[in-house]
Amino acid sequence: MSDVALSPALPAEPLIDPRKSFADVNQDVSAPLERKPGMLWKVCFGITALLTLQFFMEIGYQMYKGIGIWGLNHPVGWAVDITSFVFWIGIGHAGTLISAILHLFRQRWRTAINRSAEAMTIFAVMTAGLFPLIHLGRTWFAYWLVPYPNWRFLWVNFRSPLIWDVFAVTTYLTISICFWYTGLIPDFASLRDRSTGWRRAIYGVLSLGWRGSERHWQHYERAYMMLAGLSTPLVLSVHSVFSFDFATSLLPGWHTTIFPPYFVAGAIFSGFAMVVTLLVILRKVFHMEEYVTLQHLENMNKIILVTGMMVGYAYATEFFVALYSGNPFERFTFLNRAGGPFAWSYWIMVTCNVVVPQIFWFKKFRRSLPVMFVVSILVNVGMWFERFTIIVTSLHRDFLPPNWSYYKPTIFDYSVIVGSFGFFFMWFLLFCRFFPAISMAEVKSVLWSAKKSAAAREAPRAKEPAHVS
Amino acid sequence: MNESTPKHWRSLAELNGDPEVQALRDREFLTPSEETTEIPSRRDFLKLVGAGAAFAAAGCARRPVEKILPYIKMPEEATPGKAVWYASTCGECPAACGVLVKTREGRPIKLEGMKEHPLSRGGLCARGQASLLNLYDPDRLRGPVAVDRATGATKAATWGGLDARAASALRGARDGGGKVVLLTGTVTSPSTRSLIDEFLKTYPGGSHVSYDAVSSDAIAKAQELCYGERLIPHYRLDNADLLVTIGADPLGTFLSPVEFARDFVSRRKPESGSMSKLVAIEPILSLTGTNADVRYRVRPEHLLAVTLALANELLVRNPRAPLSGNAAVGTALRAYPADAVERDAGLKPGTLGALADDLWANRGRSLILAGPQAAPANHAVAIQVAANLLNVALGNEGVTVERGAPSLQAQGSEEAVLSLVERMRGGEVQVLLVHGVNPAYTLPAALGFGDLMKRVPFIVSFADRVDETARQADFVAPDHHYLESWNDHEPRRGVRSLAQPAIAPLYDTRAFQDTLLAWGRSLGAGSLAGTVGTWHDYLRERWRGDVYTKSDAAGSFDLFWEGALREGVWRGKGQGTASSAPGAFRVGALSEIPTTPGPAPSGGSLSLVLYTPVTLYDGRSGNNAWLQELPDPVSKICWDNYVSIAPSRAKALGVSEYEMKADVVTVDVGHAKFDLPVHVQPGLHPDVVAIAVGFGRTAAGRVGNKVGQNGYALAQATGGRIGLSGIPARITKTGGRAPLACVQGHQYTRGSFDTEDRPIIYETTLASFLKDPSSGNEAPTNEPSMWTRHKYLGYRWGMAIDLNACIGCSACMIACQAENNVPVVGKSIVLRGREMAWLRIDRYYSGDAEAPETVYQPMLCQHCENAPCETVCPVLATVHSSEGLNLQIYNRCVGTRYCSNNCPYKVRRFNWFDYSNVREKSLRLVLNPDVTVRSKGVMEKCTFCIQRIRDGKEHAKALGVPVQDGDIETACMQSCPTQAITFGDINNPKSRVSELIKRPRGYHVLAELNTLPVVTYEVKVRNREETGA
Repeated sequence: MSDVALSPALPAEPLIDPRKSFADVNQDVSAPLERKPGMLWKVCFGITALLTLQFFMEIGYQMYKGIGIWGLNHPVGWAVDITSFVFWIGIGHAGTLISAILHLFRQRWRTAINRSAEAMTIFAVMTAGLFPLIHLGRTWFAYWLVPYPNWRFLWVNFRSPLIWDVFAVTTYLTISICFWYTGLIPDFASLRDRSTGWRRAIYGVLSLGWRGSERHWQHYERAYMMLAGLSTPLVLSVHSVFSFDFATSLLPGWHTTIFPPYFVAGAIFSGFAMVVTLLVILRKVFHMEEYVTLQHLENMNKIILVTGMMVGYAYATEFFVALYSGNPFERFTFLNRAGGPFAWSYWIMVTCNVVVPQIFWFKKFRRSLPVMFVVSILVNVGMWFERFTIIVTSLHRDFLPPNWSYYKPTIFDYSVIVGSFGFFFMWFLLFCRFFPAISMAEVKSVLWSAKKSAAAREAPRAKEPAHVS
Repeated sequence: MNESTPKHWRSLAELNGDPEVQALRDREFLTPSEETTEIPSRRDFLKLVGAGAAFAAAGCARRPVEKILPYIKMPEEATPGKAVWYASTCGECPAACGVLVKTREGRPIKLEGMKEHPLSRGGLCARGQASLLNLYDPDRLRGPVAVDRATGATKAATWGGLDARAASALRGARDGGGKVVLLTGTVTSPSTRSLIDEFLKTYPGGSHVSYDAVSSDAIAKAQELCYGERLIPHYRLDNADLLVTIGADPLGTFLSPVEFARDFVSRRKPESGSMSKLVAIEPILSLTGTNADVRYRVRPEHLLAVTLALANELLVRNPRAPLSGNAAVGTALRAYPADAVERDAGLKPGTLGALADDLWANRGRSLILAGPQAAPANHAVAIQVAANLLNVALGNEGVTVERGAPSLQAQGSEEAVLSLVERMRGGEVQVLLVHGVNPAYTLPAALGFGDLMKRVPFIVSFADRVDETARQADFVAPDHHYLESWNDHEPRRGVRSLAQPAIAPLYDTRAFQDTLLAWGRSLGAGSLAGTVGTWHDYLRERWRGDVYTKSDAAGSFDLFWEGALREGVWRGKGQGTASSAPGAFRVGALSEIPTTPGPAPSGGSLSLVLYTPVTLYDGRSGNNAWLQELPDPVSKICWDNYVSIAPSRAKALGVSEYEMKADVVTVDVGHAKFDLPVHVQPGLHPDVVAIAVGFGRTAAGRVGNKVGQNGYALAQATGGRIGLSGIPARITKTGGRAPLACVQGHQYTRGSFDTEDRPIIYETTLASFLKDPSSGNEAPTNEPSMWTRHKYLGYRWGMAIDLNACIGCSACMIACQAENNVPVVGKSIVLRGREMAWLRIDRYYSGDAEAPETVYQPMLCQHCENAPCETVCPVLATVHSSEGLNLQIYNRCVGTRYCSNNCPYKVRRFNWFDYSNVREKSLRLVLNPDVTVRSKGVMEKCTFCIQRIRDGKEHAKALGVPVQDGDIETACMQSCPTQAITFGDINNPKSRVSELIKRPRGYHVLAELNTLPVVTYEVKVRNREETGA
């Protein structure tokens, strides 16, 4: 069974230049880890670290002063906090999808990008995980959301979707870290073998005694497959659970059955966009154009196009159902979204998520770095506003008109938004510095088949041994 | 024990009665460490002492020291944890409603209307209840001060020094023949009045001038002209089948709102088969106007003509009423035919004729009530004469207008105060004593009262702070708060109530009456000379002489006095119940009526109305944060005043109000002008602009200063009257915008789409109701549910709110605030939509934006059976009780706000900041110790006054009986002047609330959500034609 046979859709063009040797892979991927950081990295890290610092200062001040420093008000109990939470969780989804589902489907083109996508997942979930904590009025009691035995016999409410969230996030984070770490083990071993001194010691510990024996590989492959199997349902379940926060409530605009698939599609959409954003930068900064090729990026752009249309379809369905249902509250909520005081946010969402990705129908644009960079950022802007639209416009005008209000963010809301981006990118930059950003072991397997097909092209009559990797 | 019962043993030793076992049995605890009798050995003792010293030396951090001080002398009646109630009288305004003062540990914490009092009958208005907070106002004076008139600087003074200065000034005035003037508001206390008389008698030129900013003087004046006696009749709204108010606001601020509201609503029960009808003819949308069945918008200049046209219809055009043939009447009314007046006033032709017919059909059971300050100053008396004429013509005298037991709640005279101003201008006034009024603030700025005060050599103010008037005085001799004082009141002839101190004076203040006694005695002449005793003794003596001797009380005076104190109110036998015979109407009074309607104001001109707001009244409690944050019942705006203009006028002027931001305009009346934001007020006459008085205080205190603008500055003083209405004004847009803190300012904003088909309010008309009692009630019942219903085995608390009885007065909101320690958050936080009211009153308009109908809906936690909040709380901080209450557990709440997001009624309030930490210590005293103050980050909401439920249950348990219906009243129910709210056990089929919720008018708000609220609303019934007004 050959890879080519398994993936008939694989392009004729090899994913990686077949002239590269395995040693080249090790050298190219490890190089950024082994040289002193460049000025660009230092500046970026400095900025993100500063943003992170102000983020935590904001959190500290907010815990001291009260959640009222945000712009929330009486009907609008959630805004930037839960918007960012769902946004970051959504970002995380691409990582799991790329790692697990594409792995199970033997999409070998994922090998160049899965490591950074997984890292992105973990950092996104870490970032997301902060929001449920800091959005609490009394953050210092956040542990009460965990069902732990206590002498007061206090227990959590398993009927509350927020408790489901607690389980969803922690499960997701745990599985993602395990999956990521398992994949890293062979690469840590490669790094260990290349390094000396304290780096060698640390990578040695991290590589858990990996020697690359046949047994190791066998166990590794099994464990990786199993974790991929475990992660796959999470892609669908985690965001479905978050959508229950809204779907199980009775607020018009939240109370809708379309939410689970709609949220999952949106999550994958935004996650892929974020991967594209990161990779465009990463391949440039760390000179990995040869590993993360335009082919990879184009594949992801295709997924962005598809999922973009899925969310567009969801918007249309929502609107249609609201108008068709005859429910005055539901109808009002959607008219208010499109034409009320928050119409600007709705139309940002529609433009960025539905209109802009249509540009990817054209191959030229799918393969254009500046275009995809801009589009991927716009998609994430749009996806942030999608959550904002769902949360804020539904809350600000609900059943009883005397409750209505408007939501105006304060400087602290902005501080939280930029802070979360700083926090996320700071981790990502650290990751790029200390961990191999591309899975060397997996890329080698692609390289192997690339070499084979190159060899086959050069000597078509030469007999190739069938090889299963 | 039964002989056959086997005796069980655990060990042989036990069976054998081993003494060791016996010893063990005698000990309660087997663990030695829990033995309390253990005595440490000497070594242990030394060790402990050493360790203790070491810890002390190491300076362990300690918890902050909180002192619990025991009583040195235990007050006789105070039991810690038990409330003590005192019967007293509200001193906030001259309506003088009876109150019960709830005190805990010696401090008043709540005021409630006294059920036995003939005026309040259990209810108490928002202002009355909020006056409690004034007691603890940190900006009150701590003692007498001397004021430097030039700079306004104050210096602490002593009572002795003040008395000496005052005595010499008074003596100088008496000996020099100078005038001594005591300027007060209405003094409803007969004993104080007699003391004032005794005090002033000593001075040849002494005079007592009464003046009310919220004046009913025009009524008294017209009564004098028409009947020869200056009085304010007792209006009986409960006897009126048809009530026509002409610019009057009896439900809001006129004379005795609590009494009127109760009387009015007593006739608004459609179940009784009939309902009174309220027709409001008014320039602005008053609280009464919002409750009217039919409402006509008429600008102030036309109110008189409209009143006269009604009389014309009854007496001239279609003469049918008494006095019809009277020549003087005919002459007076000749210039006011209905058709011409309708044309001028912009009313539909035939309106007044139809109203006159309606009045005639209800003759003897109707009431014409004209507002004493609603018409321009030159019409003020004439319109009252016209109203008197109508009431005579309709035979209402003695039925709805009783002069036999007149109201004594407004005795101020505008002429008197204006003549005082003239005397001051002439430099005649030697000594001016000011009590209970703030003329420098409330008199029209054009009079220049503040400047004229400079011509008075000696001025003492009795205000509790250095207010606008006291700033110009020589001394401020602060009077007690009324909850610290003795007093008596006679709001209506024959109804006497006592006010007793519920707390010892907090500061070095002195009763105004004690001050008068001291000064009167110091002169060494007159009736007060040589007397001894305090004001309390004086009051007792007055009661001994005036009341006790005339009563048929059997016991001693002491017994009678104690009884009167306990009861709080005393009604003389045979007094105050006789209705007067219809007095002879003096047609000569009709000469007050202008012979021609005068030049009609041109269509485009604007007429300014300065109205008295329900919340701040005349600004006397401007420093009261509860009142400042209480939204105006109609506009729902708090913490500011504004220029109300009609929607069409706003469009014409190009000004708007959107999302709490409003265009600022300049209001110019010629002699004064200022800038204020606009409020677009549906229902206002398009040619009228309205500004609430009571704002714009400059010396109220930290809360009340610089809130809005002083409307009195724009008032007029012409022809011996003070005019608050019909003042020609110009409005120009400044281009600026200012925030207006409106608690529900978002309905009439762009992008609202239609919200009309929402199942929130249902209404019907009386005719439809009589045909079908469930008419208008479209709420679905018995929605299918997936779940089994909760079981409530014992009590189940529920509430019924009659939308037909709720007049929107907002008394319940203050009651809730006082009872439940609901914090005040301030304008900036309200602007962010974070007011904390557990109970709010939603105001909805319907119909035309220019002339809408209004309905009020008190909205509080619905204590749903399927509560959406309960399922979503992750930590079970909000749970369902076995008695149907939706409980909020503050110390379990982590503050996700999910419950609030999921609440369809949005009645939950979040503590965005730490509101529980009241910085001013005196304000902490007002907190109800039975209710937790909520910390930062915690959700809160209406608890159905669970502390009152517990209290009621404990009371019942002590008696060994189940809770009786009516034993437990929530604060809102208790305070409601119209009894719109009924609370009780709906598991008890005989309870009042059970009966109410079964009525066909009952419905649940948003019933289709199947939240199964336990609060039932009752359909609003309007007494008007089906086709609408």
